[in-house]
Amino acid sequence: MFTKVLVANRGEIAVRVLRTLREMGIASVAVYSDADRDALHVQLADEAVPLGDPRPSTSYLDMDKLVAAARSTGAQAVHPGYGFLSENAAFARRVAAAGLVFVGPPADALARVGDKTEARRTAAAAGVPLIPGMDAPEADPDKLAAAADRIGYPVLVKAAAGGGGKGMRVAATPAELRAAAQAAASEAATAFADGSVYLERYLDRPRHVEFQILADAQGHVVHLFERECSVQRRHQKVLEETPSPAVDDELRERMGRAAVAAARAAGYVNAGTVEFLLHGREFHFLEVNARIQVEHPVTELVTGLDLVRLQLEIAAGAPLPFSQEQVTRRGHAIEARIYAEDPRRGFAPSPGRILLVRHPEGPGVRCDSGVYSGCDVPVYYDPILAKVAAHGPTREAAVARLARALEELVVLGVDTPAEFLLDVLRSPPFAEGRTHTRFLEEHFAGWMPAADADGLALIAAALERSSPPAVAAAAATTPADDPSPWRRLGGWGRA
Amino acid sequence: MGKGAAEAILVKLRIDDREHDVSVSPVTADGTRRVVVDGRQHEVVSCAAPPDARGLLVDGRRVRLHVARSPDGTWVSHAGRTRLVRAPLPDARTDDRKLKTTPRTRSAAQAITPAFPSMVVAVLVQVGDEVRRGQELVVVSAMKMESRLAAPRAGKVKAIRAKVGASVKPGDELVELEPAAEGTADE
Repeated sequence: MFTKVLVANRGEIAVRVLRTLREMGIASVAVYSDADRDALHVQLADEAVPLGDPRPSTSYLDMDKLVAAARSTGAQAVHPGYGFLSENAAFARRVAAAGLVFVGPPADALARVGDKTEARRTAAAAGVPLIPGMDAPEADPDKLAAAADRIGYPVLVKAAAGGGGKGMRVAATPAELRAAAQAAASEAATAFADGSVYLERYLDRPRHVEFQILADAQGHVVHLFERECSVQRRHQKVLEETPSPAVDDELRERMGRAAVAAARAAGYVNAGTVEFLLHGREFHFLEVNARIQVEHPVTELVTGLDLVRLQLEIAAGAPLPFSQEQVTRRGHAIEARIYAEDPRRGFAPSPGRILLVRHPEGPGVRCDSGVYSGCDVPVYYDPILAKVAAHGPTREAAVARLARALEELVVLGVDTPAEFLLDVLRSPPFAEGRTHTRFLEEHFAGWMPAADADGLALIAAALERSSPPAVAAAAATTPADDPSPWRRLGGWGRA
Repeated sequence: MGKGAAEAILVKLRIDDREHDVSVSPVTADGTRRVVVDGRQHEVVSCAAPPDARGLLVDGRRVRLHVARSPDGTWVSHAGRTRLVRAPLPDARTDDRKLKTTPRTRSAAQAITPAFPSMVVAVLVQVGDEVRRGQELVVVSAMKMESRLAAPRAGKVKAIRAKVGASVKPGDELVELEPAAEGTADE
């Protein structure tokens, strides 16, 4: 097993990986840009290496700096987290060439599944059903238009190197296709350094159901059941749960077998996810995510497994410690993503300083957070602050528990969608499990926070303003739980 | 406030675009205050006051809130619902003065400025370019979501105050346009 691992990421996922490293007694190295100097993941690592300029291209996407950081600290392996370079075959190759272990699939498997059109070819060869679409990315607008005619409108424009909804646009007409292709290519080039696009038929109101897979280097591949992530906005997942309300044992068996077949055909190793769109009882292969995913906690909650630990063990050469028959699940788990975004303004980003954060606790609640009171949310990166997940014996119990946890969550200083999520969780269509990828558009377009919740806020704020100055000053100083001692020291002279 | 004022304190407060009238009476002998919100009366007792949490008894009901003050106002959270309570909006004239503008003043709707704190990804024009209404001038990105800022009317690029990689915020005027000269061709 490794004795030192570098975490090539930031925020909540870096914190989560660091926690398993700590549990395994493995020394950890964090990296941080100038914008993350005081970040939580830096505080929790054993060592930290600065990356400089906060723009992604010169920090978390800078392969030279990351490899240099690993070498200078003597790290033996690099865990890439999700996003950034986690699915970049060139990075996996650079890491290996530097004599380090990349905690993820081998570079050639990454290349095979990372290119979305090649992944489709691999899945098709393994007998997995596909959505009608293009087999190769294309930049020529005329060729794209011809492909769209063949596939049939409406079409979805997707980034070949993309993921997480970046660079996706729907086009219902040839005119829309032209504009959509250009915008998608631009967004993808910015996020993934690769602007090529391809088209797929657009399915109406399917469910997004994905299977967690795990493969070792000895050819053993298993799935760890499904997650349904249909509740999305702008193709970004907002709520994720397992099991899917629409998947029974028979369907699970069929889809699980297809997921394993796809992973095996791609020569996949380590943790990954095979995504499907489920339409009734028909499922279509979407893509393979060759990384640990944001929503992995719900799988960990129902299986009792530590996926990051398994990733490290596989990367260190160990075989899978269980067979498919030995994987069991229990109960229901559901997770909410807490982004620094304002649901009243189309989920526009809400960067700034977090004045106060309080994480939920108690039975069956798991909170993976990358923030603390007083920390800054930079403009440069994905605005995920934390994930709140709940586990219960039934779906109803898990949903009620997540709602209770979201009531306990406090984030002051930046906007978050917590209140919006509470309203979604408590809505009849959600309670009935009638989820699909246009769920939010259909039931929550134009959502606004309840005005009757203003009264208590006004009372509290008015009381604040009528407080004596000493109390107000105390409230404005750095909170006691700020992990930076440089900000907690001082204030000795205040009342 | 100050030396034991015997009268209620009246404030006008705002949440989003809704204004409210709130009055807070001094604490009585039994520890209660009367707080009136838009004419509705409440009996409030303060139970606990650690640095960030507040325990209140409001009309006999126990309520736990979290509070934080910022230059923008007071953030209050209760049971997962968060509100930013601010002073009422100043009049429009005052707002214009607060915007960063060049000597030739422009209204907020005309300024080429990002809607939220962003990073400049691309500058699509150069000083001296003639641009038409709706032509895209600057691309900004906030958390990987791109916005393209367009010219509100035809004109000529007089100055560019956006460098690729720079952090910009609402109110920063990224491109200054000179209006199109009289008699120029239609856009």
